Amino acid sequence: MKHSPITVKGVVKTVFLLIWTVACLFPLYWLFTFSLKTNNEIFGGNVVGLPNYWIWSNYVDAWGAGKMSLYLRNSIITTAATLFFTLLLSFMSSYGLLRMRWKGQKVTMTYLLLGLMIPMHAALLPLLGTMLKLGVLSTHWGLIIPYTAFNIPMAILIISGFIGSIPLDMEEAAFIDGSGIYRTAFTIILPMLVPAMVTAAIFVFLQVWNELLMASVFVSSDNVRTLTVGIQQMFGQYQTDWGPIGAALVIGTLPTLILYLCMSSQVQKSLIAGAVKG
Amino acid sequence: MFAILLTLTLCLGLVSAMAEEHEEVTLTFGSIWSSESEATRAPFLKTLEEFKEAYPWITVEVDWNEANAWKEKGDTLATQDAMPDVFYWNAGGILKEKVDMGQILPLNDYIDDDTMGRLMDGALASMTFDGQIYGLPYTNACSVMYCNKALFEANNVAIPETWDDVLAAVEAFKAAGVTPMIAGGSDRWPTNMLGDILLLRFAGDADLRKACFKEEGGTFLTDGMIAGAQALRDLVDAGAFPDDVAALTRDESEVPWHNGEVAMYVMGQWEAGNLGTEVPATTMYREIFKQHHYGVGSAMAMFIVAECLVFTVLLNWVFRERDARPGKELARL
Repeated sequence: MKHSPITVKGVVKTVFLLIWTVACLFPLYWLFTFSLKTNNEIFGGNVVGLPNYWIWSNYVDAWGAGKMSLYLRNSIITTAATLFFTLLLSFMSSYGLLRMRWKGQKVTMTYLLLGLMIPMHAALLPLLGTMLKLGVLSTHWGLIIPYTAFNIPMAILIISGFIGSIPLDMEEAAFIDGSGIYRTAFTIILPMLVPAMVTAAIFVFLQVWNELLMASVFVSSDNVRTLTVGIQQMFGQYQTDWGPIGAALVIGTLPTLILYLCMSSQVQKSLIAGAVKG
Repeated sequence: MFAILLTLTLCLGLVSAMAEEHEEVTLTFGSIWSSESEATRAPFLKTLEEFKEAYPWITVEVDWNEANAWKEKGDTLATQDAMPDVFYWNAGGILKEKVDMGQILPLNDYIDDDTMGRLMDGALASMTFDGQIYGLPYTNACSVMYCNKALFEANNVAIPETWDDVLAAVEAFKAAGVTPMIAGGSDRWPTNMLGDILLLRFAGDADLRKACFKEEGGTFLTDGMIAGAQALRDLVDAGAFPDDVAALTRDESEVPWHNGEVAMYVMGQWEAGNLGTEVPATTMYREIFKQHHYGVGSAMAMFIVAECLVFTVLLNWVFRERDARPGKELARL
């Protein structure tokens, strides 16, 4: 086996990449050690070192008294449902907006994309009134509906960019072979949109998983409360026990990490594909 | 803590008077004691259990919130008349805003002489407007200046009894290379609390109240107010605080204090709990607290503030407006 010679350029590159790796991994290391310390260690003389005493009970506190198990379940339900509805509605909307010819097609597309310009804070009060009248406050629907609505414009933007790059010949061939509109959309076009759907799914997942404002205002019941608000609840008015909060943050971050580890190559592919085709 | 029970009992009084057959009732309660580290949580839960045992036909649904998040959430819910039936809210100016919005039910008709007799004098001052009582206090938080007795003795400094003594102690500790005081400036409320106390002590309760509630031409530009602000300025100019005090959180400020590196620490009475449990190795703190508790020692007299922070549990106006809320079990009201 032939070894390439060690060069100055290679050493500099390796050192730079090592530093980069440490910089990227350090927050995870810090969060993990943070979750095993006491307040005095976290804010005192041992901010970045390994814990003097490994307080695993912080995880027990977060999972039990902190109700992280319940909040994790709620976050999974809310996020999964939002992903399902957002992707389904966005795909169908995008297909209808790009592939079908009808009056008001472009105006509707512009109208839907205008949703990107509406900040969540500005919509909070009228949305609260609407949710109240619908009677869905403190239910999973009270979060799933606004989350889906807020994420549809972005998902349409991503998916429609990809649909535009698919040749019309594909659908024409399908129609000639007797395929109907729904079958064409779901069995011919949808499989070709997997990179776009994954890209949209990741954006939606991160947004919904980390959302705090609506989750805080629209939910008053532990049975619906999501992780972000659950973690926020662990802050005391005057005194805060930070170790269990660190443990809760680790618990809350794990699904995101797992998702990225499982789908990182797909994410990169889809982003590159989008850059080239879009 | 009896006040929470008292408030819930008042709710019951309202309910049972109208519904003697004990129909099922659900009350919503907006709480800020969600954290396990919250000192009020355990007594609140105990009170809640006692209430449930006493009145099994009433279900209390507690909405647990983080304190700051609740302020924003409460303000948002108030715009849609969606506040819980009973809820925590700070007294004083921000309570008056809610009163002016018509969100709070006056309690005068529901509080009898026996109840009034069990409250401390002045406890209702920050929640009474135009003779109407809009809340009941569940605790009376006091600011305390804790002194590290070991550092005072080691540096031969007398425990301060007057404001001049405090400044002299700051100077002495500064000369000895010991941090005289510390505060969590980036969290704002710890330094605000210190400023409030100085204003109260220098200007007096009447002037401060007038200025806060904008009553009778009240202003923060009286001689007393300016003297209080100057006192804080003198403390800063004397080098009482570390240079980064404005960047420290309260949690960060607590560490050097607990490690015995700071001579004086102005904090609420809840800090006493930490001194007894979280710092078991240094019993000196407990001794200090015993000797200089705000209610016991003379050194703290200067900082005793009877009404510095009064928190309230309030009855929502919806008790009176139940008829307008379909789907609620208390429709009779």
